[in-house]
Amino acid sequence: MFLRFYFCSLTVPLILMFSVGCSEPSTNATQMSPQNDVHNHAHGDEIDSLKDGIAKVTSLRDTIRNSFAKDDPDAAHGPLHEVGDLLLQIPKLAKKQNFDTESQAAIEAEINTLMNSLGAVDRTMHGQEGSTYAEESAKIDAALTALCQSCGLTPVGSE
Amino acid sequence: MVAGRVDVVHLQQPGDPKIAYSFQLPSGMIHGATQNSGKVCFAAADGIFWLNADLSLQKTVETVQVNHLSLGTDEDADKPLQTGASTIERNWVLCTTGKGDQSTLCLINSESVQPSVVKIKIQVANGLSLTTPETVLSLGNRYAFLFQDRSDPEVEVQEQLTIVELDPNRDRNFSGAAIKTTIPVTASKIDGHHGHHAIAFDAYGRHAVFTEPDEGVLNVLSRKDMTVVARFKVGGSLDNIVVIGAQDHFH
Repeated sequence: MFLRFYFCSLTVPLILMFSVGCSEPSTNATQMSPQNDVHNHAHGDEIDSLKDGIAKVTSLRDTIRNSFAKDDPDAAHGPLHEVGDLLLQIPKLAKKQNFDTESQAAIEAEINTLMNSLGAVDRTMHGQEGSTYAEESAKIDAALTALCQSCGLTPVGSE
Repeated sequence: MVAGRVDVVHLQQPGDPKIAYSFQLPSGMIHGATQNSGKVCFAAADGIFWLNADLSLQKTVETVQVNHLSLGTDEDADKPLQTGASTIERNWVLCTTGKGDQSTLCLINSESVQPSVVKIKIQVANGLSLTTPETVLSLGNRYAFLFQDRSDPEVEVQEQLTIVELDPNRDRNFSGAAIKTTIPVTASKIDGHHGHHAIAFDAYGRHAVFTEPDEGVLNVLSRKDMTVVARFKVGGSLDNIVVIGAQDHFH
């Protein structure tokens, strides 16, 4: 899958100041950790917590969505690869939280949905038969919302 | 070879290939053939003939059923329009027919039980004719590129490149195909079958590279806005072109 093979992108990830993915149930917003602006290659940096991982997935989703909306697919391409690598880390981080079997299975199912949808968009970027972002957008948003809920985080949308 | 005769040969049989059976098309001058989605199409003097591919040699000359697709009539010559080489894109066969104001891109859905011809009229000046379409999948959109080359090298007329978006609404039905743009190109340098404009695409379909044979120029065209973004004078009489790889995104 391209998302796995090509996560080492030359594209510099954008620093999103306003994106918010999920929050703890008791709060309304999550402070994003600023990305390292010196190391400008997306190498799928290790994420320490599930909360940070999902916040970063949401941030990358926003970058991808907004780039396609501006008809700038090249700006979406690097984040598209980066999010694939990041998604693979989420189930491992979830296991550390000791969720029950049902929640863990739901998390893995939502990750699969996101991988499939974003992978289809990436195939299109690579000149193959795939989907446009517009075609997968609703599915991606729904899967990300469900992922937040399965992880016990409250989806709060994004800007 | 008898005009209009088609030989059916089982290539996987042991020993030398032998003709299983032969049949005759209603008209001769077969000058092109292709297969797609289980159908075989022949370009002949009178449009296109097609039949279901007999992959297990179940048929005989008595039972093989040949079907006809007319491309219309050449009004000047009062004879059937014909085509030559064709291109396959997904389950569709693409070809061109006619000259000047009768120039048409023809699209045939091979998956249809009874295929018909979808015709896209293309404005072509007298003295020019359409080349065989070349297709590309680019960022989810499919395009056909057709040059308008001189049919008579002595005639001074501006040659063109016409780009057709094959599936604007992405429903995988090319019957909604529409002309995206037409841009002027410098002259071909036709000598027999050589010297036509040629085009090829990078691995991701993001850029096209096409030749201008008379001036010996290679052009790089961006799919994003369908404009030429670079020109390289390489000299000589350019003929075919191959593109390998794509813009470097990765390390």
